[in-house]
Amino acid sequence: MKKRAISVLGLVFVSAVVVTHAQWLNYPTPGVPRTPDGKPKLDAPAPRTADGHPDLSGVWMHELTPISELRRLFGARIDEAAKTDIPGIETDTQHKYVLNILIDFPDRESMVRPNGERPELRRGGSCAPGRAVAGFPVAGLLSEPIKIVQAPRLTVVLYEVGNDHRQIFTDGRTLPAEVNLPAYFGYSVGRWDGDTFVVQTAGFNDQTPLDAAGHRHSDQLRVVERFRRLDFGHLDIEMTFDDPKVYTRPFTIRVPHNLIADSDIFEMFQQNEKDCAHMQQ
Amino acid sequence: MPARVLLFSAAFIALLSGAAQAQNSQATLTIVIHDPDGRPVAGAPIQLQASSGGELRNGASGKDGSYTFSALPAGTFDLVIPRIGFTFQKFERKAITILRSEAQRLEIGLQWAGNLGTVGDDDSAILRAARAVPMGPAPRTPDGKPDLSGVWNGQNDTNPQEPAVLPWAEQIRKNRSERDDPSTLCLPSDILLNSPNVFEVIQTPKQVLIVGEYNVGAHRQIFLDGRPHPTEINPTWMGHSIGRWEGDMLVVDTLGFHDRSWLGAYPHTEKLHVVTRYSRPDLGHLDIQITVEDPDTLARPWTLHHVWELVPGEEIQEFVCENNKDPQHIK
Repeated sequence: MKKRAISVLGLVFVSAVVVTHAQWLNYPTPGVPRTPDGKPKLDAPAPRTADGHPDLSGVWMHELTPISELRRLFGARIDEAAKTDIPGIETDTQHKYVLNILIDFPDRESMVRPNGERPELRRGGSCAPGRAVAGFPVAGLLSEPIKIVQAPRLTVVLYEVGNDHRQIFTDGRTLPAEVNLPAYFGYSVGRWDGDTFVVQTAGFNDQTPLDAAGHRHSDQLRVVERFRRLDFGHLDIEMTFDDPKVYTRPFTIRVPHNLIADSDIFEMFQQNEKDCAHMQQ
Repeated sequence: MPARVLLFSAAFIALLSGAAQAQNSQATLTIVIHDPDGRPVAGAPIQLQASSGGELRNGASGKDGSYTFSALPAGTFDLVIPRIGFTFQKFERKAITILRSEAQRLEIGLQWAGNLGTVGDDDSAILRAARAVPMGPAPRTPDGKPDLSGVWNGQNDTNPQEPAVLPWAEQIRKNRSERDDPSTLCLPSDILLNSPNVFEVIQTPKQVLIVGEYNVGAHRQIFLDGRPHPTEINPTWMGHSIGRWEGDMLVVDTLGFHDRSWLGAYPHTEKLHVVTRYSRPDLGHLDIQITVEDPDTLARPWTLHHVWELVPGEEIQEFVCENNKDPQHIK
């Protein structure tokens, strides 16, 4: 079942237009600090916005998990899946946490409540004809980058996966006590704690899994993310998941990201997606 | 001198009697608008113009659905109530005869548009009815440019121009129905961002980002960093947009559309080229002028104009297209 889950996740996002990052590659973006030979200077200091905060804006790709590490963690199934690799979305372009978000926790078996939901991808689940939704955090941990656009009162995270976006309100509001419309990406508010951008999210619906291993979440999930731009080319994102309905304790994963300079996210609209539910069998 | 005085007097007298005639025309025209269920329609924009041309008078219906044009000269007039959001179709009546000093009353029944009058199924109209547009000066960013940021309520072009399309495009349009619209397959259908929906504009020094509550997740990035279009553009649904400031106006050039989207109800080619001009005359309004060119589809450029109204406190809700479960049956 787990093996199937890995290849299923790959399949579901294959039906989209195959994505490459070649669209605007080698297009030097104005304003990027450069080394003498014209390459982006990734260890230059992090830029700041007019209000003095680090500017998180940019196209960011999660650190890749080397295939050897994936093999160590997940075994021979990785080689099986890699046999059907498609250029641009190879098995080792997906983060290990999208295969199993709890993979780094030795006590992961005991972290899932025994009376929680059955650990398998719900049939048809997030897969309505026309569109499969990756949800959070999967949309940012697959083979495609994200783009952060930071403005004074709002930060938007654009996901290449599914052409979705999240809004993070930074106008001082707190999370509403009740969220009327549970959403795939929840409802997010953000504030600065020194140079760390702290984002709280609640109001998720329960329609998408946290990974391909079948770890689910309820609509009670609350997530705290901590973004730190270490320098021009590096962004650290720490995510803490707290869902007492499904998990016995909160857990934190850390996902470093690298800047993709001189490029951009691409459109991804799934077309002719009439058979997603059958693919999930 | 006496001759000049005479002339002057004659002209003056002629003027006087003309003014007197206008003043004596106390003709009024009261429009009363209701929907197909007989309920009054409030906030409907109404345009009245003499059939021979000239001044365009604008009004908007009150809570009881009525509005009165006063001090009308005798003559014939054309009346237009433009399409309202997704709710009401355009209404037109030509050659309304107004007699001197009469008080005429016209009952008008509007027809449902795409949402068939479903209550709540027209965010733009609901927002417009619920709140007044805030007043004040347009805000600026720290670098002195107009700040176009905000949540905006879109609306239809109140004086829409029909595009002049080439015969092949007209032929295709004739054979299309709304069920063929890309949005029924969860694909973008508002490539001009001119639908009456709610939009958010996010402006940073390097780019403007426009996110629609609708349009199947399609957003528009407008790069402000001086880059040109890529020499080899990979065609996309929303195209590649670059913007530059001309004074207080943001001029956005978009190229690189593929040909699968619809231009209104028409097809178009990859030669589609759109120039959009944004200006924010005051806090509450975003004035948008769009020029659409496609030499293989349009006989001449097509221009659109609409004004977005600020709706502070509103938010873009998540929109995930997932309920189109039966495209084959819809067809």
